[in-house]
Amino acid sequence: MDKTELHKKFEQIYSQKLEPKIIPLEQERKGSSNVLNTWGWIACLLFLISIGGFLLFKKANILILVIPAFIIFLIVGKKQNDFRRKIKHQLLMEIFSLFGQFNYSDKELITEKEIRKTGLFRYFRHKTDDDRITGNYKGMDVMLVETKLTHAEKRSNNYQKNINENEAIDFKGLIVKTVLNKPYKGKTLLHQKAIGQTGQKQAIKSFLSEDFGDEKADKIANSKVVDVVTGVLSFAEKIPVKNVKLSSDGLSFDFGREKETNIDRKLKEVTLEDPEFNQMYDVYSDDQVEARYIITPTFMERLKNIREVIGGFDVHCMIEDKYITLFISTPVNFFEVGDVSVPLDNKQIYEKVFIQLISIFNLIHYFKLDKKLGL
Amino acid sequence: MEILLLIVAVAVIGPYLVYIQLIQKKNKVKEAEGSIDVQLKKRYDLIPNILTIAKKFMEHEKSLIEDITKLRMRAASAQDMSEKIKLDNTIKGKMDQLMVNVENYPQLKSDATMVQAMQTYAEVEEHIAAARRFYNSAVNDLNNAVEIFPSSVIAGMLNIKAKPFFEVQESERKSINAADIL
Repeated sequence: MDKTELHKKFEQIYSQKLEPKIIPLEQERKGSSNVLNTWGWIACLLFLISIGGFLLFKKANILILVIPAFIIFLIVGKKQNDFRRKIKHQLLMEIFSLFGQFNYSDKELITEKEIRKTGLFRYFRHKTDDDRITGNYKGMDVMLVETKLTHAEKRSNNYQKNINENEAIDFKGLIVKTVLNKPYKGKTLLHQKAIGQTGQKQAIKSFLSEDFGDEKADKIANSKVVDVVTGVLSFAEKIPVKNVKLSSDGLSFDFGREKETNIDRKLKEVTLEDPEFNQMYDVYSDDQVEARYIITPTFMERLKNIREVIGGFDVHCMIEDKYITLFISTPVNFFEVGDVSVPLDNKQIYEKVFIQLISIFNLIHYFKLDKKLGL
Repeated sequence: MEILLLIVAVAVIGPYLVYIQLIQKKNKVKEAEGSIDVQLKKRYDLIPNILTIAKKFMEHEKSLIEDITKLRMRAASAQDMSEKIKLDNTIKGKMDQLMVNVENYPQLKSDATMVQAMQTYAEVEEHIAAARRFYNSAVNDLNNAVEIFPSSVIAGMLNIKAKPFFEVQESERKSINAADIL
């Protein structure tokens, strides 16, 4: 289906299924937005009076006004989140229902422990889920989690001689977990170590095509500026250049840096027959034959070109028991509906989500996970 | 004196490291051979079941069934890897022929046990292909070490020889003509 057909299909869905639900919800949003805005302004005013009063009159007791301001901010924030969740439960799930039976989950679907066990992200300490969706697509159990994995990183500032703690992002993107089409016993891990210039261009193209359309995105992705930038980035992926660090102090070599991964010692390295794939991925498995049973030449080819289907930079993959989990690192914010300050009758928001969902479920077709075929 | 010690150290440690790598690669090939044996055994265990079901329906394929039975018995007792590869390629060719011929027997094709057996056979085939790739990858590493200087010298002293690849039979390489099947 091309973009025009998708647009037509969306128009039909919007008028039949979404619009009737949006009208009453939009009334509710307007009401909530007015109330929350008023309380937001009151909180700001209290905050300003408190700080301004303290600076002008040097009286500490005026600072007590910060407490109600803070409480109001918390309540307003909670109300906004509740509204967003309600919209996601109702409208987002309506779009999802076109693909299968899905639920917006308030419970954790993929735990921190589960991610830590993969060994893909050595340093992460905190996990913040944005959206969690679980359901069934063509008879297959599917879980989608938009999440961010972070850790605190200490950085010394040579000018002020102090140490700052910054939030370092280990992963930001979408986790797609689904069942395998093959009976598989074991554990195989694919860690993306480089995506190369072609991969970076594909990632940029699919990232931009959401907002600019395919033609314009293709033009930008193949422009000379992007050529130079992706050329430098792909060069930087190579060892030993990978160990060169650019900071405010200038260029430095960081050979002592530990690997980003923390792979289970039971898993042994698997060297596959495709040199290009070996440059892009480190593969580990507890069984050399089972690993190759899953990672067939066709699977390798598909994984190399995955960015043609879904926008993303690093794409790691974990295959354990009967599940395959893809960690798609991307700056794209998925399923962004329900902002109380944005009108709900903005059709473009839902079309964007619809296109995002097409890409996600296209992934399942791309890997032929819905077919009982040898990949 | 220190230089002399360094030269001695390099002269001893260097060949020892090459020796370790050669033994590791040789053992990896053995491991891969073991994996192939496991997968082939699965196939040889499955073949009699398929043949028993096929015999009931495929009266005109008696000679093919007999050929497969004989080849299976020979392959199951083969010791040498080159012989195993050769026999396995022949068995695979005959089994593929049998699977294609199943299409001519609608009753057999729709038999639940046969369908199940064919699915399992397809899975075993995929595992054999995976084991074959593992074996070829291990053999490639070993053969490089055996043929490239300086490890070739130590390999020669240890009598480690290049191993044969598990190559795909010529008939498998040919593109499938739909008219032959339909």
